[in-house]
Amino acid sequence: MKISKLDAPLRVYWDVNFKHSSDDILQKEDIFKIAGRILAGRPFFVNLGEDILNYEHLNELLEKFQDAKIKLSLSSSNIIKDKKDLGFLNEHKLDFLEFKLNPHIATIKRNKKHLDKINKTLKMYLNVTDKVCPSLVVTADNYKLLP
Amino acid sequence: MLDYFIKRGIKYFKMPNTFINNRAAEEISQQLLTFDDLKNLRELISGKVDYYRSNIRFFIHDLFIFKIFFPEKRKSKERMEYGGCQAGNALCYIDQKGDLYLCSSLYVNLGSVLDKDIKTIFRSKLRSDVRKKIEERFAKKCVRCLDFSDCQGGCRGVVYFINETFLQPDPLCPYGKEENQKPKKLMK
Ligand code: SF4
Repeated sequence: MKISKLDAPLRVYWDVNFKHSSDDILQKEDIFKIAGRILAGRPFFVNLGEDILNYEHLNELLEKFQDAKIKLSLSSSNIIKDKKDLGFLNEHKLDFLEFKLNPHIATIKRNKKHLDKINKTLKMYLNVTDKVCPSLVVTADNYKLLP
Repeated sequence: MLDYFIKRGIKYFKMPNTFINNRAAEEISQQLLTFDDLKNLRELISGKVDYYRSNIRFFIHDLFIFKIFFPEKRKSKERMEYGGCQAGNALCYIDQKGDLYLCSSLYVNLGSVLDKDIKTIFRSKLRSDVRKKIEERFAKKCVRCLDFSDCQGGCRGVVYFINETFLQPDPLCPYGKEENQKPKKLMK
């Protein structure tokens, strides 16, 4: 194995969270401070994930990363709740959009209701994928739970 | 599930590394795959591997699952994006509080990106110490195995989580367990 180099291009996986206002979750300025530091840290790929529910902030964040022309992917089960939420995504070019199955598979009881829910969400993701990026990746973090 | 995806036009499927953080160890352990899981998976997809491969592009982190789907790609260089564990080298993970970890599977906190920039964090002694261990500390039986250059110790984060040392084989390695006789041809 090669001994690590400090100047290797970096893949950054960042669980950014705009959702909560509790003490342990960061305020907007702090989130953008981290974004700035990621950009200064020789990234060639950034994956933004987790519960990103503030579309306005996410929009700004995507712009910041887009300008740096790095590979960008969004992975969250909560980005797309509804078709009307998709508008802002059309403005951006992502390399990947990921649909995280995780919270869904945790609740799958192999019944029709749950599968219908996944079906509906998948359809929404597929619809937006055509516009914002070349591919939709389905991710299963906890694949032991997959039916 | 794979059949379900294919029917719905999903072309990419990712099976990422196991997320290891400060959750209860039992909860994380439940998510880790076992030999039996691998055996079940092999049986489940047997006879359909070519079908899945021609319809879905897989991103599979775990070498031993990868080998079930791509048994002919034995050499690590044939496996995309695999050059040994890259935790804290070519990748890092930042959590919701801004703390930087070597990888989402290797729970070693290198400090907050809010306090220091990434380059400074990467120059830390802690990072270089852990990297050195990742690159140099392997189970003796791993180093002797002819497959070692392919697996390079497997997921070092999972090994560390289970054993609190890097000096053990990946739990999914078929030759890692004491009771499993290593085929002679695999011994140097
Ligand atoms: S610890 Fe290393 S081998 Fe495991 S997921 Fe992270 S980079 Fe991959």
